Amino acid sequence: MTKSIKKALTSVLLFGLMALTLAGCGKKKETVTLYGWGGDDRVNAYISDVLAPYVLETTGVELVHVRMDAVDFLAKLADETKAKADSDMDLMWINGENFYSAYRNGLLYGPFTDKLQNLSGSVDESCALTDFGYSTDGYEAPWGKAQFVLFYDSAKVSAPPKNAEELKNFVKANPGSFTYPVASDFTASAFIRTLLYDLVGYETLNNLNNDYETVKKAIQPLTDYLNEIEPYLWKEGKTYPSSSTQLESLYSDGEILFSMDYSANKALSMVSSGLWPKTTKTLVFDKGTPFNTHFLAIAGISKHKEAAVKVINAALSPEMQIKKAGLSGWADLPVLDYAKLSDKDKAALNAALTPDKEFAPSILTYEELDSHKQPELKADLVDVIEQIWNDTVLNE
Amino acid sequence: MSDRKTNSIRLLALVPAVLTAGLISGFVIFNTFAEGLGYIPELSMYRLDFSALRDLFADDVFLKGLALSCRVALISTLLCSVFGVLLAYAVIRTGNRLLSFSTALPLILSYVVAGILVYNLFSDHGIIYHLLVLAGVKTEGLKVLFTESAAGVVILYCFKGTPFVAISVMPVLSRVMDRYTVAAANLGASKPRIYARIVFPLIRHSVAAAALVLFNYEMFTYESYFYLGSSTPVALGVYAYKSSRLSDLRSRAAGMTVNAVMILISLVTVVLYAIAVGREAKTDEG
Repeated sequence: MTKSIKKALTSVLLFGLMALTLAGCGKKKETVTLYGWGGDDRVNAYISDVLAPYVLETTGVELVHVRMDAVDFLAKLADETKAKADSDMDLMWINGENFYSAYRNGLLYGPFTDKLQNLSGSVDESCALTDFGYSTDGYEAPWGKAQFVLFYDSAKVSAPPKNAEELKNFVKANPGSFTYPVASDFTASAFIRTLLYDLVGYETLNNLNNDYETVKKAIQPLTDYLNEIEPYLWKEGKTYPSSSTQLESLYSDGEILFSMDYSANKALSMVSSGLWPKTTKTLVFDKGTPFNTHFLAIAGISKHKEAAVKVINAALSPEMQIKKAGLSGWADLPVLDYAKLSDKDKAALNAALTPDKEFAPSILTYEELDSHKQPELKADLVDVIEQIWNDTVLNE
Repeated sequence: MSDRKTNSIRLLALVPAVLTAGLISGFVIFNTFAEGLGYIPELSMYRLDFSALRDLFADDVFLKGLALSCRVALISTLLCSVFGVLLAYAVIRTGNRLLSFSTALPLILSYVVAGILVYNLFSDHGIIYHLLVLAGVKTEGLKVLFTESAAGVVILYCFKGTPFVAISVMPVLSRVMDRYTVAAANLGASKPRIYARIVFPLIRHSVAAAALVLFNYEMFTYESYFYLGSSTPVALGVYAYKSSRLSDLRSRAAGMTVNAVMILISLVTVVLYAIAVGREAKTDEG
């Protein structure tokens, strides 16, 4: 009898242990997706190899990068919101007109930024407030900063242009050596705004009504300028590169002498990897270039909102921001507030931002960039300017 | 088992595939037309009207793009049809396995890879330019790609389309050559007469069917123009792609209207294709 009781007890214990083990195995790690542009290997490597392991270690959340352009994942978000579908969308890497459109159409979750300890603890909170001229209202958290710059081959361009007038003179004197992509390209759109700041002025533009005819009249000096230089561009201006990637290829192949990007430190990685000439240098116009912040937002239909907040908080930590800023990696400008950092973090940030001596001439110092930054125009104004470029420059 | 029963089982086996394809295509077509007419509930757009369609046909950029796409697709299809038939003929006549294998090679490559190949060969200072320089020809550059004539796109289409036509036509051409050419020659017909009066009439439906598939694809493709075309005029595929990718989600109706127009053109070519295939089957029976 005692033997059978023992046997029964042992069986119950074993069964209990097995059930506990199985229950443990069944407990799934929470997975959060990050939808974002995947066109740059350095960015992809940072998200997959640096941020994702850090998030897993510190929060227990598995982060998966879904590489997709913003307009595509916003269309997916709109469709899935409409269908009330079981969506896998959680985090999104957006800014500017994409945020403006998603927020206006009620596709985002928020406000949530008050739940981010690192935002108040180490981040420059002033960059969290507006995005391309519109209030974020706590519906997106700043992740990094970017500034538009131009690149040139200093072996072939002895006196780099410092304003629109000098660029025009250079282009006319060196036909075929310069071009820019179509305005729908993110980088080209920033180039057009750089010219606008010089030719029209930021103050005049920012308070402008976004009515097509009003904007067209206001930016007439720009469209006249672009039409004037058009015959001297690559391929006599009869065509424009379809993307900044194509522009980069033309620069790499030596067909043109200038390239451009919204990543201020890009030249360093391109030169160090041997893709661009060693003589490549970075320049900004005297009157400055557009500077903006890129953000992380949460889909309104996300099933992992709490976990998504944890991931954003981890992405804003000094450790992750400093690694993201590292010049050998993504080299994205951090959103950290230097004054809020510990001495250890300050030292780490300084080290991350110091380039190898060999490649240092290819980029500008933070002081130079900082003294030439101009805020972005309102998101809806950017759309109108791009449309006017299509109508008056491309299809004229 | 009777023939009738066997046929019924065969038809039943097709039902899942036909239903799936039919339902998906039907839904996509319906949704495209609904959104093109402005009915997008997720964006709180409920009004149905033809304003986007009217705007589209009043847009000079769209009309020029439509003309460019038609012209390029037509020229490429004609060239592919001629080259494809000649290639098929060469493969059958020679029986060369290497030639036969090489014929299929461009089909395996994706349009993007084929586009890179064309870019490397025909760019201003690409491989062909360097070969010309080596041969002592003085040139500033080829000036073939990114032109308004879309010559680069035509080259890419010919590279991909010629083998497609060749492979589509080869079985019919081989059968016709086996059956009739020898008999006709024995009866004293000259070679040009054999090809003009016997071979071509018997393979023309097969060529037409392959050409219609090609035309339909080439008419709406996006990537060829994106990589090798000029930024203006904007080809139909690029126009549709750009219209539906504007950051303002409310512009989706305009993008969907372009898609609806593309679907209508496709439906016409599908009907023509069905007619061509039907006639080809009749020719075979004959």
